[in-house]
Amino acid sequence: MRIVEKMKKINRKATFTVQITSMVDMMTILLVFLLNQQSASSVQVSVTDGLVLPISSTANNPIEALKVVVTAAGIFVNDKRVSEIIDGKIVDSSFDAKDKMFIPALYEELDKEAENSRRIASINETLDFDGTLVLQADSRLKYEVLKKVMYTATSAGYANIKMAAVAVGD
Amino acid sequence: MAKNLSLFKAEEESIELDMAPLLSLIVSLIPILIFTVVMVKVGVVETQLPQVVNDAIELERKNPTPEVSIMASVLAGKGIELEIIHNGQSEKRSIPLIDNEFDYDGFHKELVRAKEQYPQTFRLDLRPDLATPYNKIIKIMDAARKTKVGERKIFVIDKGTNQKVETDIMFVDIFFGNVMEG
Repeated sequence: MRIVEKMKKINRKATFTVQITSMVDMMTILLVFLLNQQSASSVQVSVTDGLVLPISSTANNPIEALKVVVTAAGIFVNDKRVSEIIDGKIVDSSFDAKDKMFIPALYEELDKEAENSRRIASINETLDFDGTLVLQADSRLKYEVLKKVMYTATSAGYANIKMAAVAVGD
Repeated sequence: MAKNLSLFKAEEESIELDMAPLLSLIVSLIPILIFTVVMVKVGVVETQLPQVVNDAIELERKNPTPEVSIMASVLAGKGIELEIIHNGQSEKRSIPLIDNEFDYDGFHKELVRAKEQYPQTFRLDLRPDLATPYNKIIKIMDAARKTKVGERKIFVIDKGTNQKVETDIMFVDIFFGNVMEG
């Protein structure tokens, strides 16, 4: 019995408490920083690979709308490639034979989306199809490409185009 | 003896906070926040405006034939040409390139001058040529949107009260006038 008690005493002496107060301080600071970094906007614009957005002094949060991504590789609607871009130019096969500004595959996708939005708007009165589109285009592209995308989008009923940019403030 | 006893009592009553559950919570929260944190903030080129300015813009939007139209032709190899048409009279201002780069400050100053002349105009018809890079178009739009900090403000007349309202908003209704042109 005495031996057991003696061993217990020895064991108690061997235990030690880790000082975690400073670690908790550090973690709390990190937590506050990360919470602060969270975007206040409920709408997130995801940046796809190879896409370099232009830098702008705009301070507005993105809005919830159909997103069209134009990278150096192609034009995407809902992650689906509708047209290919080579050397900064839309490939010739993407255009309509009669109208060299019009991209039929892009039009079809946008028209489908517009039709869906209009159908939802007819059921849900709180929603309204206003033809808004968020254009995420690579900053290195020329206006020639964007003009053709905007031309086709306008033809599909998306005349209100918002351009996504990396906001850096004034 | 009494002193010794009171000291002993104080030592017995001291408690130690168990930080372990709090630490566990923080440790599980931090990875979630790290994965969801937004390091690059993306915005859209748009504005929210004071009521008077907003009313003036709406009024202009409803007018199919505005008195004043301001047009900026962006020519990749030359510069920017600003054309102001007021009651059929055209006035052109040219902003040439500086070191093969658009003179954004010069363009901004010309727009401030135009805005002071026509404060009720918020619409700018932007006409870049096909070779203009997209990032430069955005910079041009940035130069047109607002007056800079320290610059003199623009005064918009409130149609209701006839009072002047100070604003830094210049041309927020920017549209690409040549999109539908072949």
